[in-house]
Amino acid sequence: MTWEHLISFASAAAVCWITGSVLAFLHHPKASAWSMISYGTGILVYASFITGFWISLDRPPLVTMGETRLWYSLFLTLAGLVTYIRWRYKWILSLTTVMSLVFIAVNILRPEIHNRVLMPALQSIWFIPHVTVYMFSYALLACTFLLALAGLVKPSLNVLPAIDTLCRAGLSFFTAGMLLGALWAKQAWGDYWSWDPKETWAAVTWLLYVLYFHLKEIRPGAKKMIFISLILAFLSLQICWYGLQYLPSARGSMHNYALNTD
Amino acid sequence: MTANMHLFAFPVNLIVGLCIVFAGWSLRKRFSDTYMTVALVMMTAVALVQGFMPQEAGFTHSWPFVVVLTWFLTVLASRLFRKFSLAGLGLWLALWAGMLGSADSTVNHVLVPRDRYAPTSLSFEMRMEDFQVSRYDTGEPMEYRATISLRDLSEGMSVKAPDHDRPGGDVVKTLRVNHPVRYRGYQIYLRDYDVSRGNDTAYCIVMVTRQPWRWLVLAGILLLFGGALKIFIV
Repeated sequence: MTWEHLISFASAAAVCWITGSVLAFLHHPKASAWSMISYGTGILVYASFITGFWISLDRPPLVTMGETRLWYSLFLTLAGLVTYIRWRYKWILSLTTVMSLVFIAVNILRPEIHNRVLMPALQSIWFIPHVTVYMFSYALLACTFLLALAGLVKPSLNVLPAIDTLCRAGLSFFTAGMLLGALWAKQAWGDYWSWDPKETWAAVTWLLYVLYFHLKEIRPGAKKMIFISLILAFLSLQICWYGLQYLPSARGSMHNYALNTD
Repeated sequence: MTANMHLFAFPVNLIVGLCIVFAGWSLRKRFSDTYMTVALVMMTAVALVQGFMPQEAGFTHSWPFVVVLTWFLTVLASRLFRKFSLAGLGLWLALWAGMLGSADSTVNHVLVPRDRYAPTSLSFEMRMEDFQVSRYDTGEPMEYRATISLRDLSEGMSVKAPDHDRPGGDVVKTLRVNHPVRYRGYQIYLRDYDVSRGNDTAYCIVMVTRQPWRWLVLAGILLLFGGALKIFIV
């Protein structure tokens, strides 16, 4: 399976996701159950593409930005479905669908075609856990961003309990990703932490999410400030993930693997 | 602006580290949780400065950064004495040992020639026995493998005695990317070779590091891992 198959699998998944998102708004007693089934089917269809792609590639599809976007869309829809099942926000599925389709569209419009080569620097047992754990946390934290936006726009919504649970899970996974990276860095580069641009922006992001928990603790009433801290943290996360490519100070980052394989 | 790390070589770093713990203990009642939040904002600010600066500027070795980090560690210590958390302790230990330990750490890049020992500033010498690059069908490198012999100089006599007089005196190790080698408290990493000559390279370049405090950093990382797991489960 190759990038060319992405469009058909993604279209089928998109139909399921959009159907699921619409069903979530209907008042029929069985509507929410069918919404979950439809949305879940979309996730399975999309996951089967990634599985087939991985098998045909002979190496984990986690090397390039395009490949990490594949996982992001998968985990994002998964996080959206779990949030819907747990808290029944009927609008969350539409938001995660739109966001994931944006990233899929980028992959279809700007496919990054790569061969099977996995360079020696990435041949490590830390590689798969480091990247997938991060992508999972990015998706959970994207959900908190969407919830925070919703909370800012419509203050009557009670989104804080969902934000709190997702943020706890998201930050735990983010921390795990960072620590797996530190252990790997010791093996590959000689030190646990060397303030490489990617590491620095991961630290900024991590500190901002920790700040959210502390703000919530000392100023539980300041909802607006809490939402803004989450939005800032999410922006920093975007710089950490792909924004670094456009940042002059990050040119020399040791995390630039895609440049060498192109 | 750059902090002179040699000033903090052992035991000065340990004394400074104990002072941080002591300050955290004495201020545990004075500092409220607001101090922790402000310290987090300050830490975020210096990390942002580093994020927008080129890495070569070495901001993380400058006094402003070191002062903010020290302040952060003091406030975090005071908070931990007041209200313990596993993740907080892990973060504190990793940062504390990372910052103080860097004064005792050394990094050397050493050129290791083929078939002969070259003098180094370290307490041992290295010689490259063999170098292999294996490639994918497409020609891209799949693996770099350097075989090197190591000879300890600290035993005195080994400097003068020819190799054949000291059977078993040399240790042979294989170096690969992502697979460093440990030797007498040092970690040795494969860094470079003569790309134009491939397998026939006349040398390889290795990085030799010594980080006596690394076990404490590792302990901090594992504690923070446990803390993250706890936050997820509870």
